[in-house]
Amino acid sequence: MLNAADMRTLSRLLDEALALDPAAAAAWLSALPPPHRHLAPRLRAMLIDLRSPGFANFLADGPRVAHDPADALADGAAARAGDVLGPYTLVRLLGRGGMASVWSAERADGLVKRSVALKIPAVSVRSTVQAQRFVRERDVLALLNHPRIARLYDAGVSAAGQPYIVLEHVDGLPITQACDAAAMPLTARLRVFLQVLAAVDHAHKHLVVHRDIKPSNVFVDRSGEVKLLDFGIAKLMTAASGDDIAPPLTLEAGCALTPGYAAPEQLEGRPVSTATDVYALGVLLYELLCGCLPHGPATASVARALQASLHEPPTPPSRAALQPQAASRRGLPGVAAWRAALAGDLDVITLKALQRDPADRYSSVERFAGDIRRLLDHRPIAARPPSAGRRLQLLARRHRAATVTAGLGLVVAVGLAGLAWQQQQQKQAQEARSVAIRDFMFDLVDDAEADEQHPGSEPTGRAMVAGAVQRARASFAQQPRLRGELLAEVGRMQDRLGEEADAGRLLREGLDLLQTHAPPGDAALNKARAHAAASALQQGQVDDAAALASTALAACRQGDDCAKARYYAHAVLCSVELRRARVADALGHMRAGVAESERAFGPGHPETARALQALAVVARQAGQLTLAMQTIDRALAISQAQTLRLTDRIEMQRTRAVLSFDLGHYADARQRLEALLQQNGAASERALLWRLLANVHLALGDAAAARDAAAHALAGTAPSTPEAEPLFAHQAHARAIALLGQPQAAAQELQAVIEGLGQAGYSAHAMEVFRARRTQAAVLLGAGQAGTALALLQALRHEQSQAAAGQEIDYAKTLNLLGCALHTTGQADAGQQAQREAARLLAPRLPADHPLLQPPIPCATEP
Amino acid sequence: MTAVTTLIHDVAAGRPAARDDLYAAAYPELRRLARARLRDGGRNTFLDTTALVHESYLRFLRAGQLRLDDRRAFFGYAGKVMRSVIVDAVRERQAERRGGGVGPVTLDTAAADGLPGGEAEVLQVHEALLALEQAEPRLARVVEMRYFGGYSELEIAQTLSLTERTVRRDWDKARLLLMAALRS
Repeated sequence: MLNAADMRTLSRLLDEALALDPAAAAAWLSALPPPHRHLAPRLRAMLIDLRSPGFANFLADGPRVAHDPADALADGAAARAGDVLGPYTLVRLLGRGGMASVWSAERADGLVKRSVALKIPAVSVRSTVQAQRFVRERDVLALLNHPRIARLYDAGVSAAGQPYIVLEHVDGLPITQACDAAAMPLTARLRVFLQVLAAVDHAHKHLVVHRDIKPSNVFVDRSGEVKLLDFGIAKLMTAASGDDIAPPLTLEAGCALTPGYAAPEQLEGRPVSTATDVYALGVLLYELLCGCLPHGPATASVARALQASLHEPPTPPSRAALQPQAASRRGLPGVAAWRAALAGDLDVITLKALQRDPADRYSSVERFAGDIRRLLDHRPIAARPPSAGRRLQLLARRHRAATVTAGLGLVVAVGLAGLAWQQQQQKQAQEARSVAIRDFMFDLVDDAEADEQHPGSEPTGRAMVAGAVQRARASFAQQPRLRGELLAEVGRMQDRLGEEADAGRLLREGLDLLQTHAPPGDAALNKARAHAAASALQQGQVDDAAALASTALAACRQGDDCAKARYYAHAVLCSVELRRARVADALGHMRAGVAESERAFGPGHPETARALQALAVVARQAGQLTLAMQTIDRALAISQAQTLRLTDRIEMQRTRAVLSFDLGHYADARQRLEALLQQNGAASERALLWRLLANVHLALGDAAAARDAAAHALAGTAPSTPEAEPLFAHQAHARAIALLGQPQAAAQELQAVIEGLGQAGYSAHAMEVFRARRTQAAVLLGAGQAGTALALLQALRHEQSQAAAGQEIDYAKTLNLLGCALHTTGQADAGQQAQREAARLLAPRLPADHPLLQPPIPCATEP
Repeated sequence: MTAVTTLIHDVAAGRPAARDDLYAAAYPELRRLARARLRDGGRNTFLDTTALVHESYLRFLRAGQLRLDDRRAFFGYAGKVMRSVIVDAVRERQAERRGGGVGPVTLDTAAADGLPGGEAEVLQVHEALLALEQAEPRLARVVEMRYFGGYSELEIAQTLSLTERTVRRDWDKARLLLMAALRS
């Protein structure tokens, strides 16, 4: 073998030789100088090798390793005909894949003569937990009873720990082959595909997701009936392999995940949902229509599939690489006719199912089927408007420079697309309106595209919004109702993006038009009312907000159309009641709000997560910490499965941290808040996190850290904001510096806080005000002014004892501090009595391990 | 097991032990996959190293141990891990056969031009690569990734920041050198 020095020399000489033509190289070789002359024969051989036919194959196939039969015995793949698994005897091997072998089998006890398919996964069950999970999963699947779904008869684990699955034996062909063999035209293929959708829809309604839809799992039997195989088997197998021992990859890659058919979320390892099946069904439809896959051949590597389906938009079916000879298998004269048949609605439907983001796909298999049926009936399909939004998205992408303002325009247009979509869902009578809105949107996009022709005059988002407003006024001069709707919608988008003043004006203008021209119970009118109410609340006009939202609720009491309006109205009224210190009412509104959101958007929708987050906050305010914790966990579960705005996600995690704090898990709260501060939230969000962290530090008894955190919070908030947030930061800061020996400054700071809260619209009976006053008393007590503190606390006790239900925890904290003050002023008995009363209130409301329930009562650092 | 992503970043940041940890993190997984593959195959099988490396990548990704952005770095070192997985598997198997009295290794595809085939080729390529690593590290890397790791030219080019053309030239030149080494 050559050593490294030889190789280095050969490599250099080879470079020289390869730069020459063959004749020159031969001459050069003969003339090699003495130090390298001995290498000449070897170099000559190499130059010959380069042109030899064997060279191309040398090492080209990767390492070749002999198969060792001894290994095969190590797992369940070594089953033989005649083997018995549970009550079944293996008869004949039907097939073997990477992760399982499938046998034809019969019952050994002869009870039933029917032959079944028995699947033996290449895993073994070792723990009882796994076995139980396997059985549970089996029981769910056994409930699936649909003529188009192959039955799961049984599943079990043999004495040796080998799991097996007994399935209906289906004789037929994979759907793609069956359609090709019958030379089915496109419409017939769509009808067969509808059968597939019906079966998947049935399973989804039983909460079973297939996870691995592909032609080899969708059979067509001899009578032309579709049968879906392996429904839920992927999950069953995962259950068998267990979480404690990582499932073998073949299980995930070979079964639950087929490159080419796997949805992006599967490839990224994110949670699987019904939307995952919608994606795979989109791929299947694509293949039935085009004879190829949207992202290249299925045999591609996982990495290639990942790359393509994550980063490349699928080619529309009409532009796929259609094979001329395959046209006749679809009853079409040629590729041109084929493309023409696919262009338009079929492109739109297929691409809708293949959206990268699960939320952008058909929201259910039923809706997917609805569009196919409409297409077959020559009626307009529902899935068009998002493609207009898509155009705009692409447009916005081309204008990355103007990101912030372009974002504004994008949201406007996407919001309008949603409006058009929603309207399309409504009755035929409104179809004309939705067409008008769609045209409006296209015009908006065209306006922007036209500008694109002139470099240097790129449309900004602001300009697009201005354009939208102008166009709405001009195009719909004669349609005041539609004009009102559009203006209100644009107003809401602006509000979302922080252009509050403009938003308020547009919402008002839209609302006035709708109030004049729409019937009182109109969904759009009342939605605009609710949005206008939210805008009024932001401007501090609490009564106006309450009136508008109440009107919306009263006018839009029933029906799904109005669910959104009611949701937004309840949310506004919840805030209003909080401002008025009526926490129980606020809680009632937000509970109703969550219900309406689930109705309007769906239980797993990001908007519902936001509603749950709000409910958690109110439940916490109402002292219902357990409800709050359950609610925020529901919101966080949605956030795991859905794409949420970062701000919403942070808010939910922040609420979770605050609840940890409330439940006395201070160290956990600190950890969560510090983790959140690592993220790049907005300045105001960071300020809030710092303020919360300051309170956690106070509870942990670290006054210096609390002061620094409060200072961070104050540095991050603008003092002019009408919100009370800076006041709360001041409150934490005051408490900290008091503990650090500056009671005078602290007392002044707190006085300003209490006055500020009043100016910010907080009632004198709001919990926030009580808290600030209690902090004031704590500061005085710590500074040795026990008499003044006592007087303050006794007044506070009197007022808080009359406060609404839900404030018991806060009231108990006042009682505790009062106990401390009484103790300090020599009234030990009265002090003990107050603290016993506090303990009586706290015990049922806090977990037993809460620091407030552990004597002695912390007088010094009570937060 | 420390998250693979963290280790990749540690390696990039120059923490000396990280490279070994990274190796240790992926080795058992790849070995398990490789063995599972060998079980499934026929009598003589080409180990589909491309799939193995990609699947192990995916597994780490799904286990939350790896981020999508680190794909390039992961592939960069998975080839090295794969190489030792394969070499170890072949050595183990040969030792078993000798121990079990099955007799000497037979070369299953002895080539007409005197090159070794099958498992012998694997070991000899591995040894010749050790020399090539010293002489021409980049060429050795290309061979390691392509032969043991099963990467495409494009993937190698991306990982090593080369053009595909350069990768192709390196591959041909490296094979010429290895062919010469295996013959001698």
